[in-house]
Amino acid sequence: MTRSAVLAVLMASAAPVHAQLAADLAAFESRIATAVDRIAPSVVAIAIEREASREGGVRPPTGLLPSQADEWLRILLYRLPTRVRVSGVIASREGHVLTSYAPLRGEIRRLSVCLADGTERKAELVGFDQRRDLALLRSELVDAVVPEFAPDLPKVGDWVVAVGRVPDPARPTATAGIVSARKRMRGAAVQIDAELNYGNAGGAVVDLEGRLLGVACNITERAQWGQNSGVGFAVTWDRVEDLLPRLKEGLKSAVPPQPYIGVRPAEGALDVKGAAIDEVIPDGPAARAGLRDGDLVVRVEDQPIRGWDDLVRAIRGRKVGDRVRITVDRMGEQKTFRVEIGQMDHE
Amino acid sequence: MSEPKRRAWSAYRAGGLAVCLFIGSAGGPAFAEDALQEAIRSVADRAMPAFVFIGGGSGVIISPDGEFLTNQHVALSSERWEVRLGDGRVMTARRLGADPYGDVALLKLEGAEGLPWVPLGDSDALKPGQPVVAIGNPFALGGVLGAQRGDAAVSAGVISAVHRRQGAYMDAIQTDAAINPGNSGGPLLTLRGELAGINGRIATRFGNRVNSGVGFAIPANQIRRFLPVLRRGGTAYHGMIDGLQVARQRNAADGALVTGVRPGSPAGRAGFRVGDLIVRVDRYPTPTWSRFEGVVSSFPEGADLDVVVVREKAEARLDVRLSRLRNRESEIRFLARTIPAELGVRVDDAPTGGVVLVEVSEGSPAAAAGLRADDILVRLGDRRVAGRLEYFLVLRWMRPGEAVPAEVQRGAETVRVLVTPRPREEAAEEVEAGGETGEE
Repeated sequence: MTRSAVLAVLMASAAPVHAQLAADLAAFESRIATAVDRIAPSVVAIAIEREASREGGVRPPTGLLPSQADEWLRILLYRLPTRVRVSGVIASREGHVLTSYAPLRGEIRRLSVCLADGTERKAELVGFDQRRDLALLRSELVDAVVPEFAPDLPKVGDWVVAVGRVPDPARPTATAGIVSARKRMRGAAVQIDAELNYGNAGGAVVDLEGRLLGVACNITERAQWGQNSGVGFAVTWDRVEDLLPRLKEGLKSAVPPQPYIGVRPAEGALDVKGAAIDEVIPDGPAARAGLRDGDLVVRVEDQPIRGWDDLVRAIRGRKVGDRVRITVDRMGEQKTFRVEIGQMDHE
Repeated sequence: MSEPKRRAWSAYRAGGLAVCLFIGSAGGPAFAEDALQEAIRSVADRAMPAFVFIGGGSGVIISPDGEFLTNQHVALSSERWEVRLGDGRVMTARRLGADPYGDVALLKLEGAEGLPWVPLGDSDALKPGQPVVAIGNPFALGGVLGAQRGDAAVSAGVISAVHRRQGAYMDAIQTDAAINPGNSGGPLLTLRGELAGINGRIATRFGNRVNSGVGFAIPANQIRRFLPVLRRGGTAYHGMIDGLQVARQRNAADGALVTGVRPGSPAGRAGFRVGDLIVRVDRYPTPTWSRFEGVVSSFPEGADLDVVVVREKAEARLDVRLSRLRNRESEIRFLARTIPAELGVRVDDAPTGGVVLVEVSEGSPAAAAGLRADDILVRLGDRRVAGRLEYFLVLRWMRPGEAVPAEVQRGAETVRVLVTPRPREEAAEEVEAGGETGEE
């Protein structure tokens, strides 16, 4: 068979399928584009100027510099005043804007809502719920467009589109993915695999019709899943609906400091007597003290640790800032570290 | 990225998935993407009960009597485990067999019968662009045995590439489905709900151990070849053609060129000759030496393979039985190139175990720690160093700038020091070329 004949046969068999695929793809593209268009008027950028603090600091990449220099750089960055931009979702025609609480921790100098036309409006913090990582701002907004909520709660496997307004408030950003799991953050949020960056915090997560499924939250530089990991969260609209009246009334619900040392467990190892650590979270209290992946915690102060529950109880029973002696078994050798108990900034 | 570009990208990424599903969707939902959503849901619904929460990672049940697969690096620390199944049951499991080099462990749930399970698919039929679903317990967000028990997480993506060689992952599937610490040992599934592979590694940058859109899975077909050995219990070993040397400095992608055959060796007895161009091993084409080695070591020791070579313009078939894979030079060199840290030493296997420091560079971290040439390094960090492979496997976990304890034998003396690895030169280039990879 000649080459052209082969080509002709291929084209004849492939053309109808290809045309159908192209049509399907175009339909999907326009569906996402329409979803973004529908939610876009309800998504704004929020500029936060804040006193520098450990909470607010930007974490430089680890491992690039010797540990000492790394630490100095970190301290320096913590001290610089910070200005960040995140996203927000309009919550009322009176100018209420929902966003993520995490970027608002610490002392805020100035808050503003950045509109698509390039103008900035001063905003004030009305209320917040740290556990659900939601905050409500209010600003003078003209023609505020309140988004339509989705009719149902998101289910695992559902398409989602995350829409933010950072870095350029004039242009919405879109990332697509699916719902990975329900009932995260004590049932308040869903987990999604759409890539979320810091600027997505407080932004909208919508269905393919552009209806609000939830508000993107729990994106911090210090969260162990980090940015863009394909593990992101959105507080679902039902929780938002529940909370909104109370937030408008000025609810300010902070989570008491939760003591933690920054280790991820390897639970269930029956042949080991102690709390086995699968991963020491980089930059966490345990990592700073010198604990390593694979260590087996056998004692906290003089209290024997037989399993993971013992360790959790021993840490939770102490206060943030306490120093404890943690003894681990590392390949048959016992080593003791002094760990300063830190504060968990996510759940 | 501009707004239209972003939209186009999102649609492309999602639409790319839709392409593959369309054909089966006639008469189904109105939109291809709705059909795809249904397919992802149904795969997740079926596989979720067969999911296993184990230690810091994940696992998947592959037989109704409770055999399940995970990564060896997940199940390493204990023979017996208390685990939670996707349906909430807590059971005890025992390790049957392990493939430490291939990073696979087979465990068995005790007293189990009639369990939901996932069939092994044909990973050789996977095509780049094909949609896949990963299930796992990233960052242990679903908890394990503690008070906060949640569901495993589902992430979707496509097959990015097949037959990738990534260190000891000799025939890896690459995927852009989000795979993070905690996903290790969990299933990568096709839309037919069959096991494509076991998720095990992610490419990371700058020590930031989260998904980068580059995840690696051990293919189902390789696992299937090792299952009989794993079921018998004990340790599985990978195969190699002993006595065969192939050219490593060769750009042509027409085969693996034989440059040496040791007389009387398995390669010699099989009839290999210098100048043979190896073009196929079993059913796999071998365009490069790297792929050739990857294919061979994706079979267990003792496997009988037929190999096709081109010799004097004609094809010849050779039968060969694989020997046990040793820590070969190429593997070690490959590993060494992917590590972001170094001690500034040249090492060789010490006949008595450990690695001998052949050379300690001036001003290097090793020199600063007081290490000397001829010292035999036996322990680094928290691990025993049996040879060069272990040395690099351990070094791979070290962060530049972080002091780690090392133990050397100096004559009859045992010396313990703290050594601080430095960033390996040219590491940035490696990152660009493909990134460091680490188990998660």
